[in-house]
Amino acid sequence: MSQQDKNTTKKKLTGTALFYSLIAKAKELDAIVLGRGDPDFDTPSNIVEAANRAMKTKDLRSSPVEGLFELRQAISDRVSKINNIDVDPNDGVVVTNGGQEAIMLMVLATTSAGDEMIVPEPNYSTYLDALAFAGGAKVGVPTVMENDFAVDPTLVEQAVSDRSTSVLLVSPNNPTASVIPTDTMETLVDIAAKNDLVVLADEIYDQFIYDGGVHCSPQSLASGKDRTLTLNAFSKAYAMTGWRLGWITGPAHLINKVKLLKASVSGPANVVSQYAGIEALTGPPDALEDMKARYHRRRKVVLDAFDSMGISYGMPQGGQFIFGDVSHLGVDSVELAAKILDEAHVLVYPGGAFAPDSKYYVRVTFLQPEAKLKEGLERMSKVLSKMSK
Amino acid sequence: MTNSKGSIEIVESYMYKDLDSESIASSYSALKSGQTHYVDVPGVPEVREAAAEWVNGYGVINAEKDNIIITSGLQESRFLATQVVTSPEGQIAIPAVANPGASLAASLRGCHVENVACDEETGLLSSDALESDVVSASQTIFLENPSRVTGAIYSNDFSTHVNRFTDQGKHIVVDTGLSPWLSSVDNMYKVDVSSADGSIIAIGELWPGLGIEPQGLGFIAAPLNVAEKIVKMKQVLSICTSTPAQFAALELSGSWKKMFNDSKSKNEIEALVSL
Ligand SMILES: Cc1ncc(COP(=O)(O)O)c(C=O)c1O
Repeated sequence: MSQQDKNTTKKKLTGTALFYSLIAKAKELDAIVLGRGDPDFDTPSNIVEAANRAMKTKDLRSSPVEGLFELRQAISDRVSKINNIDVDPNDGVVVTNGGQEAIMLMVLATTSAGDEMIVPEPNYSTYLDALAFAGGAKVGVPTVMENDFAVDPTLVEQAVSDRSTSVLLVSPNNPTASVIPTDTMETLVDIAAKNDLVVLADEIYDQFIYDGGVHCSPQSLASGKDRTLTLNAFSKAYAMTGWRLGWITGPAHLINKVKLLKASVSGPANVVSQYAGIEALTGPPDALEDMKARYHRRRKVVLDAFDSMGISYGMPQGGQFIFGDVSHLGVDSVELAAKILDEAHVLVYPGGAFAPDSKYYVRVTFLQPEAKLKEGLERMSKVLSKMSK
Repeated sequence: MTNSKGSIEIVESYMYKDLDSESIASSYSALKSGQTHYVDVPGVPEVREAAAEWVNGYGVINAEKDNIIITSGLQESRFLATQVVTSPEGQIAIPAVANPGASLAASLRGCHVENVACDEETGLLSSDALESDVVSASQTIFLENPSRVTGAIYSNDFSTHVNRFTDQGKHIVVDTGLSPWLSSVDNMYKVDVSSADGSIIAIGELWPGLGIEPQGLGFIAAPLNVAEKIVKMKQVLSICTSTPAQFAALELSGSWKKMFNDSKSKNEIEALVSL
């Protein structure tokens, strides 16, 4: 392919599709991947052993579409303990094929053609793909680095129209790593209640909160309980991306819709993965705690590297990545990510794929062992310093 | 056998046995060695290759690895395939005698499902039905071959209708999932996915009958232009199919044929329709 062809191909791709084209290229180049949100850790061995035991000894034929009761019970216990969410495992939980399917189900359950979803931007691009699929429209609410990408309730309220049906709250956010504080969350949920909106809460990174921050679940608040669908998944916390296992919790009237959609879209999640999930939630927490400690250290490595590269950022309060401003280089981030990949064989994600206004940002994940992470950042730094000369 | 799906009942058309110990061991060993991460959206390359070879024996012809997408089971195959070739304001023709899963998947965004009357005995669409106004007015036609309700098949000469439909710019989705249960597929109409810009898609379960079912494992075999669109939708819908299922299936694929025939002859597994 000529350089010109390559450039036209890159220009055409956006969002999720752009990420996947970069992933494919990174694979070809055997690059250091600081792009994709796939933890470098393999799934902890107690979870793998539980899957093996299940394959050998369990009756695997019995999962209803919403998931095994035992897993739904474990999820209900988990969200009660960690998120202060009170749901009945009988009619308040649906097990999904990863967080990704949960996004599609939540969006379809709350969006008909022409409906509007209020979306703080930048955000995880799959929401926009799912929204487009459902025929809904995004009403973007900007968040800015200077304010650590905090969601501004006044802007959210201004975005409400008579076509609004839902508001998306991803906390910790991907890609900005901002966390919505409890008082802001209360205000946001009150706005949702006043305007009869469903809150779509994505808490896939709720285990990764830094600097003494607190995570607040909208579904745990009195005014959010009956109007919130909460997504979570095993992928990030338990290094289980390949197992495709996640969940949605919510009030029965919304969960019933989700369950019906789940039956139409795919049927029950892999039953072996479901047994593995039970072990993840009820087994020893050691592996999770160990991973959390490592992420803390690695986050510091990326922050230090950004400081030395002159990349500014809003203070990342959660997640597994940092979103940095590279506008001083004067190059669109899609081009910059391609350059870093070509020249340094390091994959970082361009901010423009998350939101049009983020085209001078890059997202760097810390999902590599520390030595490899440092190596990747050094290589990236060399490309950047050549550019700023 | 009927599986409880909450408020919806999707009837399975065959009875299967538990997964064999080699496939379990192989899945376990893959997981233990770190196959616990995201894999390629359309599937693990070796599984796609094995699936291409396998579907070519059962209701599909000319499938190669790139035509294949590994899905999280038959229902996801139905969903992806029908959604990619319909639009919310469009119409899909589905035989009145068919598993309800197809209508559930196709109608989800509002596409109108037109249930087409079937021959009383076979449950297949008659020539008259195939030439009817409702079928002509549909953008997409969905068929089961063999029928999941009666086991009857569309024979080779069905390709005349298919050619007419594709000439009219229609898409056809054919659920070939029950074809391994036939004693012979010789006379059965087969889906040719070789044309680069074709419009006929086959879907079904992979390596059925031997216990991979509870892990959810399905396929879509599609011409390259459609396969590309389906992969994009699968990225958004579920990123990829679970690794425990794919690695168990990889082992199973090698010995499936012998074990399937043995189990069938011992009546350990059976199609619940007469084939
Ligand atoms: C915010 C957010 N939600 C959902 C997902 C989907 O995760 P998975 O399907 O791997 O569980 C991701 C993946 O990166 C994410 O970042």
